[in-house]
Amino acid sequence: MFMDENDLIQAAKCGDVESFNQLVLLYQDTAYTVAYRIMGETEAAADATQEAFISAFRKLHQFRGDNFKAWVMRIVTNVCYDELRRRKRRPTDSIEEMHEVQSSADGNLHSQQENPETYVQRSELSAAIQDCINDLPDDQRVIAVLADVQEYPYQEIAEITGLALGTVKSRLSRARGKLRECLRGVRELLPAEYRLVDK
Amino acid sequence: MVAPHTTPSDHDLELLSAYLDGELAHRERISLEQRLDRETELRAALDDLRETVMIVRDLPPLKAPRNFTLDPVLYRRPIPWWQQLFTLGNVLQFSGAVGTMAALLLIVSAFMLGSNSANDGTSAPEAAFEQVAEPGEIAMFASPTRAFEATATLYAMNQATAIANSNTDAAAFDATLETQSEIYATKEISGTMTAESLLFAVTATPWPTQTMPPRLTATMLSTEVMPMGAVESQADTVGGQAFEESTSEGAVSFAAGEDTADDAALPTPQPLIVMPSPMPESPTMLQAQPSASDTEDDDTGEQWVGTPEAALDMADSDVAAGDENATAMREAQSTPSPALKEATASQTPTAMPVASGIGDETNSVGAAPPADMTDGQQDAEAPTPIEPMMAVRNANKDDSRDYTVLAFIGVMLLAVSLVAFMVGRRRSRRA
Repeated sequence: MFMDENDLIQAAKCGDVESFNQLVLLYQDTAYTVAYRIMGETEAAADATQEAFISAFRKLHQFRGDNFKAWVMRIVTNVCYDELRRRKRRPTDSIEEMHEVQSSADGNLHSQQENPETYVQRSELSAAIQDCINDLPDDQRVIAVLADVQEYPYQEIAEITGLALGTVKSRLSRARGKLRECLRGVRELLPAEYRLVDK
Repeated sequence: MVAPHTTPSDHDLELLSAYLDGELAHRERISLEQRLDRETELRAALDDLRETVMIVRDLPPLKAPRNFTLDPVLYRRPIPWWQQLFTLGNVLQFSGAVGTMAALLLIVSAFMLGSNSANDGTSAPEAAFEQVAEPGEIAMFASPTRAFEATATLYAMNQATAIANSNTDAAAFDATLETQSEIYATKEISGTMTAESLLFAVTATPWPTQTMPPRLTATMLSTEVMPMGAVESQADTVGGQAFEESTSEGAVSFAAGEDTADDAALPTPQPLIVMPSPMPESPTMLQAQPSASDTEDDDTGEQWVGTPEAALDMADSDVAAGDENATAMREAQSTPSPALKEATASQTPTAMPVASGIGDETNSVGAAPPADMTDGQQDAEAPTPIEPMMAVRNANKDDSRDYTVLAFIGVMLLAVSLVAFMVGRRRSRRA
């Protein structure tokens, strides 16, 4: 029996795990995408996504707003941000993780109506872009993903990251500048309309 | 000469980034737009920035590598105790249990009220009286005793109590009748008594008005036969055993059986007929009573009742006759009166407004005789009390029907409650 999102949320608030799992299935792709764009690693992204949904279920009684998706994405972002800060405090672990051969999640795109060659090209482009995102510092990467992947307003980014509005603006500007420079290196992979002009 | 390219500063890039996201203040936006119109480099940097943002925003969504659903066993939220109580299963169980108890209470109440209704709310002693008498009937007790000792307790309706004691050795029979605190009849029997059972008839007759309690009259009779039909009164008195018709003119006789060892030697009592017959027009209707042999076919086991008029007639004179009564009684044993015989054959109670107050709160079954009439005349002219008696009986039937419906409702409620309880129990176990 189909239940709308509000019914699922109310049932989940009463402790119905099955209803909450219906919500998980609705938003797990989006949540994983955000987590992967921030973490840059498939395993870390999966862990962060799972932890985010567990945290969301336990804090479901705190949900008061109308946009459950935005509320969940915020939890995902916070979990990823906390993990990145934890890694910064433990630099040895982050170095090890950097040297790990991570499979690209961009090879697991949602299928579209396209031929295999196009799919491969799209995958390669995504992977190249993700590599440029991954090259950003953690603090810039989170803001860049929130602004450009999730398209959050500056004020919400400031609330999520706990930074001042001016800090968000400056870090985002720097992140975009670095991305622009990085994307020039993969110019040949970009579609014609995205061929950045070499300044 | 080519103008040197000026790379936008970090501040300009920040303004462009905010301008791109619509996050610039109004004054800043106006200023930047003016610069964009003038500065080509700034405009080129804006275009460059816009494309970079579009590339990142066009990144395709990823598919989750697995389901991130939670294990219900691990993450089921503990339900507060007060919330657990109100689960559907628990509510059904509680409702079923309460409904079952209510249904059982309803059924038990229906049966108890039905029993009380059948007893018409009379006390045990009165019920004993009713065993031998319907409303308007005379209850008779036989008290056989070799020693001419007979004690009979007769409880009339409306808490009228009659205690008859006899002392045959003294050849005296004293029946003291009391109703509540009033003694209104005392009989003495004197004369030579035989060794046969001492019989006396206690009759209840209505007073001239409906407000007076019934008058109880004791009449001594004699008999050798103990009819069937025991009427037990109080422990210290006699259990009525049988009847036998009076052989004396207008006499109503029966024997009150005493619960003694001699009872075993007594003849087998013969059943008689309960006869709530109408007030006879004359005491002669009771001249000859059905003999024991006439009632052999009557297997109802009910006790024969006569009319009070005869008792009234003989109470003041015949009882005191002593030997005369005894002889007259024996002679009239085998001759049933036409009226009585007819009533016996039909076994339908004809109206006999004899005993009043039995089941009748007004102490009167039928119309009250005129106050200026004598007892005999009043008794003779009293109307047939069939309708009131039937009304009393019909009222009892209606009550029985209501209690039956009540019991049926209780049974239905019991079934529904049990089903609800079982369903709730199953749901609770499943949860």
